[in-house]
Amino acid sequence: QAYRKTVEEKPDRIKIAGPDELRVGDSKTFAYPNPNDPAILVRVSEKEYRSYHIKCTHLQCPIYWDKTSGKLMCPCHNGFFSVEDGSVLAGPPQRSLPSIKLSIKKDGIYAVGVIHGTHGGKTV
Amino acid sequence: MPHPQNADYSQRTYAAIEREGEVLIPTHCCFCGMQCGMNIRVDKDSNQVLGVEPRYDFPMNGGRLCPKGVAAYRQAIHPERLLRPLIRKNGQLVESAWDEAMDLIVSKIRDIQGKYGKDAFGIYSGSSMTNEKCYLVGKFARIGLGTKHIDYNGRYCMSSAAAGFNQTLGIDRGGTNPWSDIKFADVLLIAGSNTAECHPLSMPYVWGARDNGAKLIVVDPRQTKTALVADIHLNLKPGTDLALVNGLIHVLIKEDMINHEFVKNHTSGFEDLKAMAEKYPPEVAARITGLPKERIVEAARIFGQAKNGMVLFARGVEQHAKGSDSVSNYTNLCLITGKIGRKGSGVATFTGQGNGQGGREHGQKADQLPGYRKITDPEARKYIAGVWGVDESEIPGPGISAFELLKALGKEVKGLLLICSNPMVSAPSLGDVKQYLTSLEFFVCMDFFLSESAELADVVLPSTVWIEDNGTTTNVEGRVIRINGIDKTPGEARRDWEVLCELADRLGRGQFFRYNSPQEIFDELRVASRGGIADYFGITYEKIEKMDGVFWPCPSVEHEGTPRLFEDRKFNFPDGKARLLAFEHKGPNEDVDQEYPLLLTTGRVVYHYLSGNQTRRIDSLRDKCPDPYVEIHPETAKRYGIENGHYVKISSRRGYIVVPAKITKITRPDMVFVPYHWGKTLAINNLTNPALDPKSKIPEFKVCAVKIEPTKQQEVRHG
Repeated sequence: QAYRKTVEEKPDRIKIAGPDELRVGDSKTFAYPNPNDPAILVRVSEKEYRSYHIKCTHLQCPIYWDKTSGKLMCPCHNGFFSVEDGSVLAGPPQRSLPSIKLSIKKDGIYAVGVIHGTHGGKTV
Repeated sequence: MPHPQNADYSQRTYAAIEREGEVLIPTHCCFCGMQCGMNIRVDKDSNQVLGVEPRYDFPMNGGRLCPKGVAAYRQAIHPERLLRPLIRKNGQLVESAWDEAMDLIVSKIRDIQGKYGKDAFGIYSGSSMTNEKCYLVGKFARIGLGTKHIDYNGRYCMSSAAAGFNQTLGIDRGGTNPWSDIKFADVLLIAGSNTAECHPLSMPYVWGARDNGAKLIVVDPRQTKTALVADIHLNLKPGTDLALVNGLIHVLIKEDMINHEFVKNHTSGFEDLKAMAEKYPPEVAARITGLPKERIVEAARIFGQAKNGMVLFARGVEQHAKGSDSVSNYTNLCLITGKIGRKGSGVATFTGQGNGQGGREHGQKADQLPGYRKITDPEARKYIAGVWGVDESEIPGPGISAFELLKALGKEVKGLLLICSNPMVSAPSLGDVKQYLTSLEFFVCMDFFLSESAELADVVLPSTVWIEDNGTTTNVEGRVIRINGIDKTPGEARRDWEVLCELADRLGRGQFFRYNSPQEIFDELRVASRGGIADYFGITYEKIEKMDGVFWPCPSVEHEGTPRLFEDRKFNFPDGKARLLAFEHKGPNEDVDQEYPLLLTTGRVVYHYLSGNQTRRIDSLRDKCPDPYVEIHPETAKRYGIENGHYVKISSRRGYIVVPAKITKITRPDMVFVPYHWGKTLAINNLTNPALDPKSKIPEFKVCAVKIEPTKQQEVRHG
């Protein structure tokens, strides 16, 4: 009877960056789906982007993209998240970052959904 | 080794620093229901209070203290302490002798009761006193004065939580769980509580849960410091909690996040609740609360998916004309998902007053006898009459609630004894309250400072601060703890219990009030509470010391208390089942209109306690927050042409106040917020709505309609 199904929201899509707005290794912040849901977009390679909500899942400090280490970092208590999938690499957070589903079109990058994070393998 | 009940807390192994020529007295902070452990530093020779030292060994706070805690001794040695009785002579309060004051009080009591009957003299009491004093005040009213008119300021604080818990769970212990359980929750839903400011030492437990990956949902119209760290902040329109919770229940049912086994075997009323929730799909709840519907759905899913979870709330939920029902509805969330009665699962209210819990259990309430017994229950009356050694017929019937008592002043009630309370700041619609108090034939007040209320009295008796006496309090968890004090009182100040016993003696009722110490009062309280809901019989001073506090109920001397309620899933009703009650959203009692287009809500700041009678007099706290202000959303401020720091006149149908604007996005555009700790022209309770919850009689402090306008006027300030 336990409720454990993956929750994927389908909010309205919004354009979050132009086609060549970011160089490889650069990032930008935006809000999605609501104005108070801050998120980050990272261009990880020529063709690949990653995007996550930036409230740290420990105490909600904003995380940032640490280009030199190639990790997402929370400065408050030294939490580190993988840019690949938002999972926790080190520090006090126990839950991975909610990720933003992207759609890459000719005219730019679109945010099309939110996938909630995981905690010990299960979606939370 | 700590007692096993304290194993999951935060006590630390450091020793308190001891200094030459000083002794440390282990006790607890007076400034909220957390009752954090602290040591009072006392000079060996002069017996003078010098300061505080952390008490690392106490489980609740492990030596941590908040800004109020570290200053909580400075009211003891203070130039404004009352040192001698004051008697009003030719309109002025003049220092007088105790004998003269006591003679006058006794003759006035005799005179008024002789002329109008026993019930014409009332007592208005407080919940920041020890259990011993709270018990004694109730007993003194019933068989010292023989009046039915006694009630207390807990009516403004805890009464909705009490009524809500009683109607749903059949028992009112503010927290069903020890506080360490918070760390083991997978989700915390905190509603109407500015926890980080009002109960700062609860935050380590919230952090503890976060360290384990718990999700946090905060329900509050303002983005409080607690809401800032939440996964989801539901910044609802004030007064719409019932609609929000109905919406959450709707989603929980629709997406089948219900614990059917628990609901079937341990609750009743689910079908009615389901039918009610049916009427509140997320769109409807969203429309009433002013929240995006996705956010309501998300919150419900987070709460529903978690295995363990706790719901915690405070005055923001309770101080409404539907406060009791909101408490029950929040409790429903735990019941329908089976989150109660185990580690990490339960429900709690944050007690605001130092002894908010104990103060509401032993007979200060208009309808209550010790041990949470009903004054209308013949068995209870018979039992208590036996303990007190009086005939059952000598115990009066139920009186009326605090605000109703204030309204009866000058009419049914001609004389009043005010103890440990300051209704001239804490009651709603203060303009009226002043009229009520000044229409008394005789008004006597016991306090250690000349509060805004004491200023209106005919006689003021100087009493003691908490570290000048001994006794027990009951903290937010239901843990009974020891308050230790020094054996010294300033000037001619006397302890409240000694004064009450002498008054009883002078009224010819001394035979019922022969105590040599608070411990003797406690031992009587233990017997008086025996077999009641709040059973203290097995709790002794020695056991409290040994176990660092004992959780009630503790029915026998061998019993080690009950840290967690409902582990056996038996609720306090004859069928053992919790009652799922369904509530339609209604209100607020006074909504906005064209003339008063904004909502007002009120609350606390971290630097002040209750009416500010103590904390406004402590320099280090007053410096941090000397005066009230109004929080206005930038959009709203722009519409009215108000800039940061501008003076703003806020008016309701009952009064107005002029305070500087603090323009901030943390509040909603359709409301303003003002903290409540000040008196006279700076008292926001000049504006608040005295509409009462029919069940708990709590006034609707948390929402009324106001208008705002920029003004040049600067009101006279006072400390």
